[in-house]
Amino acid sequence: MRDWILYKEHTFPLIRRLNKHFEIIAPVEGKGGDIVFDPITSEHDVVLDFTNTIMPPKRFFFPQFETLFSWKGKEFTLAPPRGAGLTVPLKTKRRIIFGIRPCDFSGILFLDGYYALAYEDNYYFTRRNNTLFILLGCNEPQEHCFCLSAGTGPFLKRGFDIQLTDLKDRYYVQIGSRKGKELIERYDYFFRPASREEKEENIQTVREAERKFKEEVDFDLVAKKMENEEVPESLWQELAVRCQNCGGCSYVCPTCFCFNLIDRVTGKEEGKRMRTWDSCTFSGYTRMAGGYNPREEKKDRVKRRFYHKLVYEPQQFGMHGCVGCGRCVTTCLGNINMPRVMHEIMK
Amino acid sequence: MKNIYLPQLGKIKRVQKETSDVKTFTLAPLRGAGFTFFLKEKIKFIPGQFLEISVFGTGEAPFSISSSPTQKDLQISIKDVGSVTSALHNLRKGQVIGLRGPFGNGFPIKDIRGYDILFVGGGIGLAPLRSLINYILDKRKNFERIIILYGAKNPEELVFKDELKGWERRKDVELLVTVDEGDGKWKRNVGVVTTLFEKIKVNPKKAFAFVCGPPVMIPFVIEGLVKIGLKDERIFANLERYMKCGVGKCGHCNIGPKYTCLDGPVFSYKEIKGLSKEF
Ligand SMILES: Cc1cc2nc3c(=O)[nH]c(=O)nc-3n(C[C@H](O)[C@H](O)[C@H](O)COP(=O)(O)OP(=O)(O)OC[C@H]3O[C@@H](n4cnc5c(N)ncnc54)[C@H](O)[C@@H]3O)c2cc1C
Ligand code: SF4
Ligand code: SF4
Ligand code: FES
Repeated sequence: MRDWILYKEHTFPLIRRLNKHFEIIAPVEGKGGDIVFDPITSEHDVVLDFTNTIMPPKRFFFPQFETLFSWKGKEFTLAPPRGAGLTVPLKTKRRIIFGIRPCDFSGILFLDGYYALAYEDNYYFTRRNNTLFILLGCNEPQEHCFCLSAGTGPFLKRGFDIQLTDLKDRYYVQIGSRKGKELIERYDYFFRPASREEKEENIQTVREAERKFKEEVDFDLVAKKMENEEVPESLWQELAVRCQNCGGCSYVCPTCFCFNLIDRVTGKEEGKRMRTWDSCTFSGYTRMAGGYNPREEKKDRVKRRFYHKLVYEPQQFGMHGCVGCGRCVTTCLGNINMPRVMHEIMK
Repeated sequence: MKNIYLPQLGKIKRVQKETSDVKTFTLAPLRGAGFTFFLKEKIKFIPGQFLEISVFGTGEAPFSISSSPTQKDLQISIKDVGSVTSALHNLRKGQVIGLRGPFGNGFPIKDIRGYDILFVGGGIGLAPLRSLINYILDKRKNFERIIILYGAKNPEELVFKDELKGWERRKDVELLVTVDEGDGKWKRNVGVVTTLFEKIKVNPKKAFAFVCGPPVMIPFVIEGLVKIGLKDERIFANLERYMKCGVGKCGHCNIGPKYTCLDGPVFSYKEIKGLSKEF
């Protein structure tokens, strides 16, 4: 497909235009000064010189708390039943996520795969299918980024709707889907076709970015060693001592999908079923009636997390459960994190 | 797209007390002729599959269907152990529940025709086995011997007491019951369920075995079956895991790379053997 150029001074006018027809979710400065993904009120909210947001935009598809349905009426306490029923609050607007990083978008591609296994998760896909993704590739990887090793960045080759490369005063614009193509065609007056020199400049920018990575890990080697049980139990034991059971690593992770289902009573004969994020590092995650817990020991839970991401998920549907975003590196209180554990295993 | 989390509304049609803390509930749709099940085949569900039952306001929990698809009634048998189960125990005839499913793989009913079938159950673990037992009894001529070994803590804790009597009377069913602790009136075997193995003769080449019971029981029973000479792929166990969604999404039921709610809850010993020590 043909590539395009968007001048930086046209970016805000484009966003303003898009905001008339879509809800725009973009990196903005949050209350505490951190850069976070949020719906914008004006194009001037958008911050595009950010490294990455503290949380991935996962919550716009899989919210931390979400009502699956609510109920109302006598029906649930008395017979004979009449009238009432269950209401599903799921409504979505057409949305654009502007400025999502390739690693985080790869997290979405991962969830696309997972949530479609056996049964489709209609809550996730209703939001997902209503969203268009405009990626912003990474010219300057951070200290803890290892998307290059994960094959999820710093730029993607496919899968996105639109991908932008920063060429100083311009963005190089690549189209990756029909949705992306239609959007560019509809707003074609903001873009012009890229020249051959600009195409070359884009390739050079990508190469340069790839050379800047400090963190490098070997996913295949690690998975092989884990599968062959070549990892000493002492490693998991040591990590277990450091793990604080906080679940932070799962909450910040773009690919962690586990959830809990709970009922909330909101009034007389009224209530709702909600789902909330959960984490396999919590001891209650597997505890069963009668107190039996197959993963009672913290060691087994920590081990589970890494086996799930590095061995089981690739086996189950061919994708790593880690996109190399580096968030768990900065989040973990006990300094347990994906690249560190991988280096230990690679030794 | 189907909403996989939205239950169908149902009501309690009948409640039957089994023991001091186990009740069997017969379920009926709130309105209309029947529940809409995911399965499109002739059969409504496969014995061994489970339902996610909601008590709105308390929550949802998985329960094996304890009736056979060959019977008219849809039943679940529940031991009161916590919040959802005790809320269910408090429901009376006519009250409303939610139902999702049936989920899970169920027993391999197509592969076992023409074989001897050995059931080993402990406590409430007889519930899913009952579905298969009654299914087989309704198609009795397709199977050879039917041997049922069942154990409970004490005589009071035996579930489906009337049905046990019925099976005992049948000439084409070999039923052996045991309790860990007898009372004055108990005249049968005393001891854990594995002590019954000495009392039966099984031809391992002709048999399939199905095991369901508390997590501590399963490894011992499997060990006994392997000793008798049953092949790993002919031994099946129902694994219980903490489950939330039942549809392979919430992650809770995972054992190694498997999801108990999708790949199970019925696993052959061959499959679980490889799943580390977790089961
Ligand atoms: C496939 C499958 C089939 C089952 N079939 C039957 C059956 O036929 N009859 C029967 O009586 N029970 C059955 N169970 C067990 C039943 O699901 C649990 O007893 C029930 O979920 C407990 O819920 P609760 O709200 O009453 O307990 P809670 O108040 O939530 O908790 C009490 C205890 O139960 C644990 N627990 C909570 N939810 C679950 C869960 N989903 N699974 C296991 N433990 C849990 C808690 O950690 C706690 O230790 C089955 C379980 C599975 C996975
Ligand atoms: S495991 Fe860590 S580095 Fe990998 S995707 Fe999750 S948060 Fe990012
Ligand atoms: S099992 Fe653990 S590592 Fe895997 S998705 Fe769930 S929370 Fe994340
Ligand atoms: S019960 Fe949710 S994944 Fe199996």
